[in-house]
Amino acid sequence: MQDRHEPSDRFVERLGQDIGTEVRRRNLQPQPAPWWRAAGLKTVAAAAALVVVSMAVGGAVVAAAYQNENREQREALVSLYARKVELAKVRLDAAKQQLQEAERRFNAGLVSQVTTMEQRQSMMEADAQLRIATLNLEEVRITGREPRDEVSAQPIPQRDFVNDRLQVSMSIAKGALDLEKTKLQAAERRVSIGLEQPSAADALRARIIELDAALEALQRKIEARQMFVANKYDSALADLRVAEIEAEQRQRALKPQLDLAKRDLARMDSLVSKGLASPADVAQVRVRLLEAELELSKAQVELSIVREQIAQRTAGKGGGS
Amino acid sequence: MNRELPEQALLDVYRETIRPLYRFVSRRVGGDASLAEDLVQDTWMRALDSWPSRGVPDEPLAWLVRVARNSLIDHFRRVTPQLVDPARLDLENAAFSPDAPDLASVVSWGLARLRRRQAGVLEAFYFDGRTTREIAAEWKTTERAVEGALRRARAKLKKTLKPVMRPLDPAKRRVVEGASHAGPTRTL
Repeated sequence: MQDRHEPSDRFVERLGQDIGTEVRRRNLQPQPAPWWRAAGLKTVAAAAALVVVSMAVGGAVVAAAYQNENREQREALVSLYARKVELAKVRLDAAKQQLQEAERRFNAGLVSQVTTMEQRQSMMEADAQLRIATLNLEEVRITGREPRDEVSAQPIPQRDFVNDRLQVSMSIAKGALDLEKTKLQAAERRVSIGLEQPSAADALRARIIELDAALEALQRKIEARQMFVANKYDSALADLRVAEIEAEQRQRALKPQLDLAKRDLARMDSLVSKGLASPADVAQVRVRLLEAELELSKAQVELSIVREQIAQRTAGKGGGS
Repeated sequence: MNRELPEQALLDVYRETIRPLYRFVSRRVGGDASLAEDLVQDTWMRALDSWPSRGVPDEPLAWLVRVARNSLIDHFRRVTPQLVDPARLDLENAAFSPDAPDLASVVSWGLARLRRRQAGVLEAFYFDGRTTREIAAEWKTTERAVEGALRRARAKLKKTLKPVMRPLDPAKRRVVEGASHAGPTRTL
C-alpha cells in the first residue's frame, strides 16, 4: 500500500505538466527591455519626477500594488465579469416584463396583490444582482483579481467594494422582509376566517424571524468591516467576528424553526388521536424536530468556540471588541 | 529584472523536490491529500512568480519548504478547528503522533499561533519524527537545551489549544462528529 504522505503519481505527473506549460507560456511573453539603458538622463529625471508626483497624490499606491498583475489574466477576468453584467441586465429586463404582466393580470382581477408583490420583489432582486455584478466588474478592472467578499479583504484606496456589496445585499433582504410581512398579514386574515390552517401563518412568522436575523447579521458585518478598515480589528479578529455573527444568525433563525416543529408535532399527535393522521406522519414531523434540535446544538457549539477564540484574542491584545 | 525560465532545469528541480516537499506538507495536514496537493501546487506557482526575477535558489527544496510552511501558517490561521478530546491529544506521551487528519489539523492550527522557533522545535519533533539528539545536532546546541525548548513550546501549545481540547458530552460529540463529515477544519 502506498504511504499516504507520498504524492500520487497522477498528481506528480499533472503538476509537472502544469509547471512545464506555465513556464513555456511565461517564456513566450515578451521580455521588457531595460528601459533605463535606452532612455536618456532627461527622460529618467522626468520619470522620477512623475513617480514622486504620482506618489504624492496616492495614485502610485494602486499602480505599485497591481503593476505585476498579468495583463492577459486581467483581460480574461474583465471579459468574464462584463458578460456577467450583460446576463444580469437580461435577467432584469425579463423580471421587469414579468412584473408588467403580473400588474396587468392584477388589474384584470386575475391574480392577487401578493403575486404582484412577489414579481416586484423578483425585479428588485434582479436589479440588486445587476448592481453587484457591476461592482464586481469595477473591482476586477481596478485590481485584476477576482472580487473579494471577505470582511477582512484589504480595502482598495478610495473604494470599498465589500461594503458596497453588503449594502446591496441589505436592500435585497429588506425587500424580502417587507414581502413576507405582507404575506403574513394576508395569511392571518385567511386564518381568522378559517380559510387557512394556523401552521401557514406560523411558517411565515419563522421566515420573518429568519430574514430579520439575516438583516441584522448584514448590518453587523458592515460594522465589522468598518472596524477592520479603521484598523480597529486585525484580519483574524474581523474573520472571527464574522464567524460569530453567522453563528448567532443561524442560532436565531433556527429557534423559531424548532418551535414550529414542536407545534407541528403537538398538532399531529392530536390529529392521530382523532384518527385524522397516521403514525408515519408523526414520525416525519419528529424527524424534522430532531434535525432542528441538532442544527441548533451545532450552532451553539460553533458559537461557543468562536467566542472563546475572540475572548482569547482580545485578552491577548488588550481590546478590539 | 525578469529572466527566461530554463524549462528543463526547472523540471529537474521539480522532480527532485516534489516528493520531499509533498511529504513535508502532507504530514502537517495529517495526510489530507486534496489540501496537501493544493498547498504544494500553490508553493510551486509562487516559485514560478519569484524565480524569474531572483533566480533559482541554491537550495530549492529549502526555499520551497519555507514557502510551503508560510502557506500552511496562512491556511491554519484562517480555519477553525473542531473540538478534540484531550485523551486523543496527549502531547506528553512519547508515543503520541498527530497522524490522523483531525489531530494534525488541530496541532498545526496551534503551531500557526506560536512563535516561529517554538513551532519549529515542535514540528521537528511531532511531524518530522526527529529525536531531541537530531534536533540538537541541527540547531548546534545541546540535547538538554532542546528538551527545555520542547517543554516550554509544548506548554505554550497546550495553552493555545485549550479552547479546542475538552472532553465532550455525548450530545455534543454527536454534533461535532456530524459536522466533521465536511472535513477536519472549516474555513471561516
